[in-house]
Amino acid sequence: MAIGQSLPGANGVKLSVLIGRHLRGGIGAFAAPLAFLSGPFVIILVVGAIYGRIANYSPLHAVLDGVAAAVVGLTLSTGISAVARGAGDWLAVAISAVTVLCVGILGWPMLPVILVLAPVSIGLMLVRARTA
Amino acid sequence: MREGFAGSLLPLFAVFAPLSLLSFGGSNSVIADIAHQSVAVQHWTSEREFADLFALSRAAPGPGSMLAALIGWKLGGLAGALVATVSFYGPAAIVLYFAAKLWGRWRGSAWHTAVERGMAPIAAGLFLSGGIAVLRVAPAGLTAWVAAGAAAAALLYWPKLHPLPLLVVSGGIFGLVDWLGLVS
Repeated sequence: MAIGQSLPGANGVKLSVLIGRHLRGGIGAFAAPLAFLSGPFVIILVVGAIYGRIANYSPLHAVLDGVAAAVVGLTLSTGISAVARGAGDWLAVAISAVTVLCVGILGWPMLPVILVLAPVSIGLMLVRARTA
Repeated sequence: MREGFAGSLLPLFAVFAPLSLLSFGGSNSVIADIAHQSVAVQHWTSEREFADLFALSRAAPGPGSMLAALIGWKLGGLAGALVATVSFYGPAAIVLYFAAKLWGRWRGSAWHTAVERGMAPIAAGLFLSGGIAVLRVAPAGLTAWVAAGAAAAALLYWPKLHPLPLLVVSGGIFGLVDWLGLVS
């Protein structure tokens, strides 16, 4: 079941597609992600509607700034531990660094960056496996 | 309605569908582009609104990747939320449906391993880029960088720490500082 990171998509949605297909075939693969997303979708609409009503209340923005910063911290810690897991592998660390430089620092759009970096990264890993 | 479709629904699809196919490692890997597109390219949200919607999408219960739905809702109500959500999750789900079986069959082959090893560091780099991109448009500026750094350090030091208390504490501190008028 390990799809890992080689195929794109939200992890919960990917898992629900696979479980749905395993249980009920094509219909299951269609229905399972719908069921998985419908609850959070309704919740987020309610949250959005409440936000729309109280967006003029300025202290709310300060609180949300704090929440957003902590969420970013969570994302950064996930990224840092992923890089650290491959810390012994200079090639993997270098590829992560180039990705951060292009997308995070230079602000380039992801599509061209990935279209170039993905084949290079996969090719280098392949070459290294062959020569090792 | 047709004007609405061309006006906001079509751009939602045009932005979120390609990102669906780029979300290697999960939906958080495309946050950098969502932030960039929403604020600078499409002008869907101000920096203020983006920070708010980003925080709400992750603080609300659920898979935490409903940012697309919130942006869609802001632009086109229920229709916008639906289009953004389906655009953001659908293409990747369709690819997975057709590719997963084939992909599993090649497990163990040299290039299967190379793809997995090659994509993992890109996904890690995209996560970090997403964090940086959100901080760059954060209205709180330097304070947001410091708080995000502190939260990341806390989570790296205590890996078992549940993120929710961290969100509450950070939101509380920012709210308190604002309420006390400590920063203008």
